[in-house]
Amino acid sequence: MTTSHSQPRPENPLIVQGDHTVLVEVDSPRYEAARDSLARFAELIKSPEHVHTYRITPLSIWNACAAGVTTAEIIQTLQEFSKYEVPHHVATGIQDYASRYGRLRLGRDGEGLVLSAADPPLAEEISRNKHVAPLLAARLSPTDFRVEPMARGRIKQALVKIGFPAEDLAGYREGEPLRIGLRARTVSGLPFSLRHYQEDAARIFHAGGSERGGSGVIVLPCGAGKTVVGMACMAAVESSTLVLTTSVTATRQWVAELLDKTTLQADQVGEYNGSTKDVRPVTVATYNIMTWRSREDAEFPHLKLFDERNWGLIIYDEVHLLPAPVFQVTAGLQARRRLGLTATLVREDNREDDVFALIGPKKVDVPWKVLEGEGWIATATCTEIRLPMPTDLRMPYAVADARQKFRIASENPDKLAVVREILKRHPGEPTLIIGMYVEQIKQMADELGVPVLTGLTAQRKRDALYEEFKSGRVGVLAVSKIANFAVDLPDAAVAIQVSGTFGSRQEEAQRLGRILRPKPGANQAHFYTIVSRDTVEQDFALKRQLFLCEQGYSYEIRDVGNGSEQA
Amino acid sequence: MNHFEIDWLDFLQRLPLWERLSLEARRAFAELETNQETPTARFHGQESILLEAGLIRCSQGRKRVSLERAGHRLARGIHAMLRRDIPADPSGDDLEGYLHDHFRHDELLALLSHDAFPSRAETARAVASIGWVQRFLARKAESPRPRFSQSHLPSWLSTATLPRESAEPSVALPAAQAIVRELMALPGPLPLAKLCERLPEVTLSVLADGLLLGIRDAVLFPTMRPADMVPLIGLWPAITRWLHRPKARPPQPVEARDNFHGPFLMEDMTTLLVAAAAAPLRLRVNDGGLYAKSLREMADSLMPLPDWFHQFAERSPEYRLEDASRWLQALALARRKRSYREHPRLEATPRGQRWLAQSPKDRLKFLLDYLRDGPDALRRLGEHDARDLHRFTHDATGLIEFLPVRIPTFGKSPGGGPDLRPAVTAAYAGLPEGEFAPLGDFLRWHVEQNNPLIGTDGGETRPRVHLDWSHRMTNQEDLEEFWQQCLASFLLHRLIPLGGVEFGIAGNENRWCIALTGPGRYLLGLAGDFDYGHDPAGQKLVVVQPNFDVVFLGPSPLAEAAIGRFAERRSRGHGALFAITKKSILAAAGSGLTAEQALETLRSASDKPIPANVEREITGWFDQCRRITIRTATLITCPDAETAARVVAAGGNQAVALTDTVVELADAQAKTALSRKLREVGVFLDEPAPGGRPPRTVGRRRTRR
Repeated sequence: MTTSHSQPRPENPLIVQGDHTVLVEVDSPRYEAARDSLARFAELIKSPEHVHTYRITPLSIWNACAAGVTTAEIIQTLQEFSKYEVPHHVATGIQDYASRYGRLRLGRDGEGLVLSAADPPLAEEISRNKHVAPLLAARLSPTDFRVEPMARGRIKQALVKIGFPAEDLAGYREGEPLRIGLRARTVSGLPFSLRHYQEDAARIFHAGGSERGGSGVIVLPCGAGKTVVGMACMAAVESSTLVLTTSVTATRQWVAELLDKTTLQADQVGEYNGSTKDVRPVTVATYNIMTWRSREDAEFPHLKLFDERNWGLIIYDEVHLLPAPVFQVTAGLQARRRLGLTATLVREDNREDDVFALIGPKKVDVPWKVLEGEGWIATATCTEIRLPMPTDLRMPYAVADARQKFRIASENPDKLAVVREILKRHPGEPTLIIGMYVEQIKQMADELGVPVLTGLTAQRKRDALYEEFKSGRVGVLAVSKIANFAVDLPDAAVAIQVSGTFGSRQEEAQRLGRILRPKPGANQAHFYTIVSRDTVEQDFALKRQLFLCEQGYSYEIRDVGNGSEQA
Repeated sequence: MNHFEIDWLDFLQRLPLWERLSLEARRAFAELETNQETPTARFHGQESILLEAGLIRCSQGRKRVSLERAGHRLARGIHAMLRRDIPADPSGDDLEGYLHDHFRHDELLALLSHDAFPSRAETARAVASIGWVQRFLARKAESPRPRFSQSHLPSWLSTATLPRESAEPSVALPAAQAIVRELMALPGPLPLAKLCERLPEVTLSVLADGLLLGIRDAVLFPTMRPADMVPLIGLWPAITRWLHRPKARPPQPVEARDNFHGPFLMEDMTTLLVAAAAAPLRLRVNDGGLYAKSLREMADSLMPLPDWFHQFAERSPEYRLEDASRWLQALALARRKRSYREHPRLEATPRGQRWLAQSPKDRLKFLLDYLRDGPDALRRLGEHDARDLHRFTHDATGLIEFLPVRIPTFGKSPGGGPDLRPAVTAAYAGLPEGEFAPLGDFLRWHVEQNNPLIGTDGGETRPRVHLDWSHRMTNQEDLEEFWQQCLASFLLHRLIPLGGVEFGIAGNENRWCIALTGPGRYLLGLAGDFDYGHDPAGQKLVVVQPNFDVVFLGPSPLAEAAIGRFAERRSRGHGALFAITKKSILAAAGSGLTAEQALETLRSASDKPIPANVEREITGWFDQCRRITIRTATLITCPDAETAARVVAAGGNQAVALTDTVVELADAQAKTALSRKLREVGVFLDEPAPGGRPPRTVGRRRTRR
């Protein structure tokens, strides 16, 4: 019932709020232009159907500055697309953040690394900071300091934390040369080429080999082909490469992809994990093995892998999951090119600033809606199916403790009938049945007559099952939570989640990611979640529902049983 | 030195000489004191004029000058006029200071002859009114005002150097009245020298007598203009300003460039009552106010007011919630409850619960009806007996009435005098339909042209009521001020908080403006019903997202308040964000809201369909709600089923077997009778152990080692 002092422009899509949050109206005719501009300097927080939320942070501004976006462009974008006047203090804050980037530069002279400040007062300030001062070796002039090569990462970390990020122009150590090319036709015989956004991402990362490129993070949605981007970057750098992944399965997937799509030969690619310690010009390792140690107070013995070869490039897959010890080592590897791959920059431990300082600024961020619109990832619909608890389980459920309640509700035996119904609706479509409880999954697989894959399944059998599933010989596969991370099942079109881990958003994202790779035909994927109605499972499912809706997926709730409709 | 000690005839006669003097010479003369000398040079060669007139004499070979005896009188007059500058816009304090400087106590007493002991402030207020001048002009020579009564003063104190009484009143009064009339026609004070020119028919001596009379009656105020040392005579500046104020004109429609309306009082009451219904709110023991923590928690749920509104009337969340609390209690929608040794608490009454369950329009209508019809409006809430409301309102917080102010009448119960309600109604009903009117013009017009407190009698204005603000006489300015207060209070405390007007800003000079709305017309009795929540622009600015966020793409306080009942506010301002959560829905359900009402609120605010999952979850959460009652019962624990059966048999329909061995006695008062019956059949009662557990019959006492 009010109108604003300044004339609002309703056709514009942005609302810039005082807390540096930016709301973007998707239905606005200027949405796409605004989104493309905004993505350069703001982080997407959530993207439900109608209004998306971005946040402008010091890191997002510094990322933009690193990509060459100017303050004037940022403020101009906000003013051009905003419905209402941009709060003055937001514009001032952006100017302030941006003015800090580039005032410190890390360069190199004939004798080593030099940290240069834009003016003596700033040099004085950092020289007196208790976190920065110990990392400065000597003062060369009123504005220049000598920095030891080993302190390169730590000083960048410390400078980010005090709000003065250093622009690292000290260049990279050239690793062992390695000829890597991308095949035009894969070993398996399929035509292969980079998609335009993958090519752009690799080009922006490499930056022609200059010191302005070579380190940074590429943000692509699940199913967009981050592995391929990694391979393209390797081909651009043409040097020995260490790839760090989240699991053994993911390691093997990387190896398989490298051998399938690049000119690398099997003897050039090695695995480094719990069972195999094979260091080759391209080595794929897990975060787990890198952070393994025999005792809590012992050293991390496998971190030496970072120094075993003269790596020219280190790739951090799923960089938002990078563990703390790897951060510490990465601080000492600033002379090597570093590539982070992720679907989101948001870390649960809020260490986004460490990713910025140690891996590098965001280089590319392609919204998933763009890729979905271009058909590079599948359109997914999410459906939650609620069914009642069987009468005989109601009393055990009522008297159980909280954890038991969740399990009883998750293992509701009536879910089997719903799964059958769903399978009937999607004949011939590769389907995953995913559950948290192994016994439930096994029992369901037995009843349905489908193979099951759990943590106890031998790796060889796992790989065989994956292969059969990929080839279509197996249409439905029941998997436990081992399928959560980096298992590439390219032809899965339907996922049926019969139990989840207490509403874990991370898990939900990964499970959904299994079905997002493009499909022939309608390019449509289906993600079903079956929950017991009026139980704690429904409460946890609500958290997952919120997450999926915030990612922009359509979400439908259906009831079965008690006279309600059928799934 | 005061004005009564001036020989005004001498002063007037010396004025031509005074006008011949340069400014420096005037200042030099004004600084001359009796028996003091000053350098001749200060007169800049004009000392000869004063020497010729015999007002000063020279000494030390014309190097220094001092006052002659004849100059003493002029000097005293100059000093008296210089004693206190009367600024162009004087305050009450200035006038009090003037009266203090120039009037003795007995003279002040005589000014307000009807009043035994007027204070200087009251005298000043009376003197500064137009009525004072009008009464002076109406005075007849044959009925002079009472003489100063000096009988109670010692003779040495009441004796002055010059006679303080004027000469013959029959001569002086017409002259004084002529001077006053002359000055009333002027926008400011007049140089004394010009007065003689403007009244050529009056002789100088009569003019002097008239001046003294007017000064003595505090209608004329002589002063010296410091800039050029010119003696002036004038009415009190506030009276001159009142006489020459621009004539009020009927308010003309204006274009509001920013406006606001919404029944925020009703929404604040709802917010507070929702909180009180969920769990009674603790109140401060000393003043019954809400604790700061409660205020903070609810502040976020209040309907936002535009920032510029606070320039008109500051409305902090604390103020709004305290006001809402007062209304809730006055209307018995909530009550203070206090048990022995417990904090007082504000809890929703059953009537309040029913009010909460109504639609926003009905909730507002109830408040409007209450103001229109008084407690009879309760019948619409299903209340057939309003007696408890009367008791409650009188006991707790006082009655809330149509008008927020009453006429403070002297010697009568408050509220006497003419009924202001029709006049207030008529004033606001005259606002142009559907257009904004400047508030200042509106008030000025009605204050000057339609004041029900001022009547006319033979062409003269007469107060129709005597205000009990003091013992002094009520004057026209008082009644104008009070009438303006009535209109403004009705606007501020009734029309704006209840959404009865749209309130806005017009023009570049930020003029406040108002336009009557449907609820306003209903309150004034101009319409039988009203539309609620009609957005003038027809815009629906709310987006309900599948992730349960409710985003406001534009300001819509009404919708924000309505949605705030069942959603948690996450941000405010442009892009205000609410989140619908299970907790917020359950809280809303507890306060009587239904799923359909919540969904209807969302549908009416949003032009996009409500996402199916959101609708489904909201409905499901509401469906989960159940109402239960708690009652106190007595449990009888029996050693075996056979005993329990005997107890049930003895208890009749009061005793119900809950299990084989536990019997519930519904009426605790029947316990005595039951135990007597049981004793008769050989069943004896043991006293329960502390904590209500059955007495421990077996076990060892634990000893501390």
